[in-house]
Amino acid sequence: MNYIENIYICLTAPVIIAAICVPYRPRRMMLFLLAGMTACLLSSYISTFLASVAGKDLFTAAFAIAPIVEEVMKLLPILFVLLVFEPKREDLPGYVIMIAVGFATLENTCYLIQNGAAEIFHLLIRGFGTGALHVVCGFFISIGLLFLWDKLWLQLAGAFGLLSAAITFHGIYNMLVSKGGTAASIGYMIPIVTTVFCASMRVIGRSRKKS
Amino acid sequence: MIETIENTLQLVVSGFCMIYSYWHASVSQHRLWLLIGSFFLLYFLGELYWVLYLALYTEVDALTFIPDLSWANSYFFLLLTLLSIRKETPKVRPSPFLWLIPVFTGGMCVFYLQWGAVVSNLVTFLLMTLIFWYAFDGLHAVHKLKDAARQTKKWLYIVIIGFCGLEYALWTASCFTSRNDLLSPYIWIDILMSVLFVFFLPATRKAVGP
Repeated sequence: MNYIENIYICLTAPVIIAAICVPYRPRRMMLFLLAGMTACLLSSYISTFLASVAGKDLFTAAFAIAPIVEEVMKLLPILFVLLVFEPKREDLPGYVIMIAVGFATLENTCYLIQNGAAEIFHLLIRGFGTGALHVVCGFFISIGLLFLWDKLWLQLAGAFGLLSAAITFHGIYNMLVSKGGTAASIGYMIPIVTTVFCASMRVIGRSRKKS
Repeated sequence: MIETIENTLQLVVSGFCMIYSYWHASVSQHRLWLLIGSFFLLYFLGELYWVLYLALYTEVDALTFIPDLSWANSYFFLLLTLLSIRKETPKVRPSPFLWLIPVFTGGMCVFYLQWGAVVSNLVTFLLMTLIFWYAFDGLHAVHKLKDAARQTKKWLYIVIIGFCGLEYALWTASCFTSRNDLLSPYIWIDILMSVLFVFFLPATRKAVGP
């Protein structure tokens, strides 16, 4: 047992206390961080439940069920905020990324407790790989929410479309990482390389546009 | 072996088209490039998942619907592309021949139900019907209006219709043959699809304009 609930309480408690004390804007970011951790907790329950219903082992569920469940759970807080509060469009990527960070933080902490914290090189790659994965998946959703259309229903349609990109990307990562060995190393590097590539393209595109 | 080579070729081509489209989207800030880039992104990711799955695992599990989800959503972005172009085109009276489209796609859906799941076939039927409808309607409008500015959109309509036609050819070929060699029509149609991907880029460039 990994006692995920206990880990969740220990990680969220200081964030909740800080959220009460800080001003409005940082509080919103902390709430999205909490939403990400909550999404991770609920995803673990739902993935395990669906795996048992489908009669699949956790190994198969890791790349066939978990990506769908996790990406949908990460999208739900954003959908809620979008539909209920109608936030400014430029704030959305920040919210999406805070949810991704919260999710990755709880996931990495559970991994540490299950597998130990001794191998620093492996954990360096795993930590950055998982973090980059969730940020890249959040970035896909942001594209759908921000750039695809002006009308809300088309924004949501585009976001769902790109949700499948996030699911497939996540599925590829989980499939490679589950295999172990060289495949796992490649899997951990894919999100890191993708993040660096996207950031470089953005910088080069902007500098070309300015010139 | 030949299937692996052919899948890898398609992966490389769709990956290149994705990067090219997103690059142009970031420079030109034109939504059409973003939509086409997203189409290639979803197609590329679905293909990558499928290639890796076949390479790492020997049996195809019934739960491997993630690539199908990705490919279905790529068709959705083609539909959004057509809706985006349609906004810029004045409406003309639709041709009555457009009603042959749901007859064709519906008939093919019923045919494919012998092999595939009901939900995925119905989703594909709906998406393909809408894509063919708007693409042919757009071509009809371009032909009627004979406006030089709108003629630039013609090639994108043609390429999208070609892609959907090849998808139907691919699905039909897979129903009748399980051959995995150079004599398989499935392999040649898939190679043709990879070649067609490249034509999306100049067609989109023409549609976006200078």
